[in-house]
Amino acid sequence: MREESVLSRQALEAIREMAGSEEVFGELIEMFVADSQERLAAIERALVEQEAGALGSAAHALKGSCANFGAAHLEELCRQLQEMGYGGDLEGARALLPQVRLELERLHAALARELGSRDA
Amino acid sequence: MKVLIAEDDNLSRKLIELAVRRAGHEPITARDGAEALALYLQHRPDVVLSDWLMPGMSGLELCRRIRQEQGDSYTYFMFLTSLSDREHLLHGIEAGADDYLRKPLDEVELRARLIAAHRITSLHQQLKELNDQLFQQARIDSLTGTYNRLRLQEDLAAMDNRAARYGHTYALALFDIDHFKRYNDTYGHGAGDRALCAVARTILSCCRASDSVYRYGGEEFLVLLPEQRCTTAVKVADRVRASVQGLGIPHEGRPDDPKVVTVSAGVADLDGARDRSAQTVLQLADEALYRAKCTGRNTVVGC
Repeated sequence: MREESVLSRQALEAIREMAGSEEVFGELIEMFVADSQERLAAIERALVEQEAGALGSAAHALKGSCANFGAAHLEELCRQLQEMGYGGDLEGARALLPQVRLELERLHAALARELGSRDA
Repeated sequence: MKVLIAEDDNLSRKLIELAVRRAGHEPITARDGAEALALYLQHRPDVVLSDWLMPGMSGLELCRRIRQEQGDSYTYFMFLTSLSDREHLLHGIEAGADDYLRKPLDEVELRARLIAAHRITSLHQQLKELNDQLFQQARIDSLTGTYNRLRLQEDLAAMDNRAARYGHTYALALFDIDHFKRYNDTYGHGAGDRALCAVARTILSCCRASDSVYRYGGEEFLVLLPEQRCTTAVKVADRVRASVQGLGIPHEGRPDDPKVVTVSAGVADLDGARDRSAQTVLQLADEALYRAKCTGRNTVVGC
């Protein structure tokens, strides 16, 4: 039940289908995990350096990437973060960041379970 | 088809790449607009799928540049748009995009769009080939297969430009079939057409590949000999004259001898024209042809 809100089962199966093999599927997931960690770091860096524009584009990038998993809640958080970035609302963004971090961790965990269950 | 994918997000790009390959097409991938433009110029893909926001050159700018660079072949351009980009949709289509595809990617939608893209690019390709054919056909005399007056005008204008700019020269040889009206009266217009074709073939066979042959009037042909002067062009023209006579096509209706089809020719070159214009060279060749007619026909006269 909890996992369903983190990502969409249908989106995940579509990615598995496009990947064509569990090996490629695993590579795609690993690539996403590494990239999204980097995006999150870019968001945190933009907040420290008070670069509102950079915050906006990093949030936009994370939003586009996690949309592939149908991660609706995370996507919505990223959208808010992006608007705060482009709108120069760094305070609001700073307040929202823990939720983004948490939701991304949940997505990573769900994806790790996905890979683990297939390996087992 | 070759499908260029411009997308800065690694996962999204990889997924589109996989889907394009699964649809039986050849993906080419770029991480940003500048790389996409460079790959576009290198590979000339049939279809471009581009993200809206990319570092450096945006999708919109990429679309505009591709429309400038695409030349004769049509590139089918689609934007990849997420829900939040929808406000830009009209803007993108106005900038020259053909369609858009929603992100995250739906594989069936991608396939459907690529089928439509293939249809459109194929139509453009057919249109271009037909246009090229028409362009050629509009410059050829349908009876004899030589070039026509339209082509002559273009070629002479080009020669005049080259002559003025680089000091190139050329000669013109104007041929006229002797007593052609009487030939038609004697043998009929079908035979007249066949005689015209035979003369055209003979002229073509006597010329070099760099020379051009035009049907100038009813029974007149003009040969443009680049880089040649009057003396050498007269030799070519006389070879034509002898070869036409050698065909031995009977012409009993003419008042003079020989009783076969013959041609007269007048030759002139650019150096003989005071104002160095094609118009004057043509006029000199015409005057020379007139003298050839006056001196008994089956003759070549040079300036």
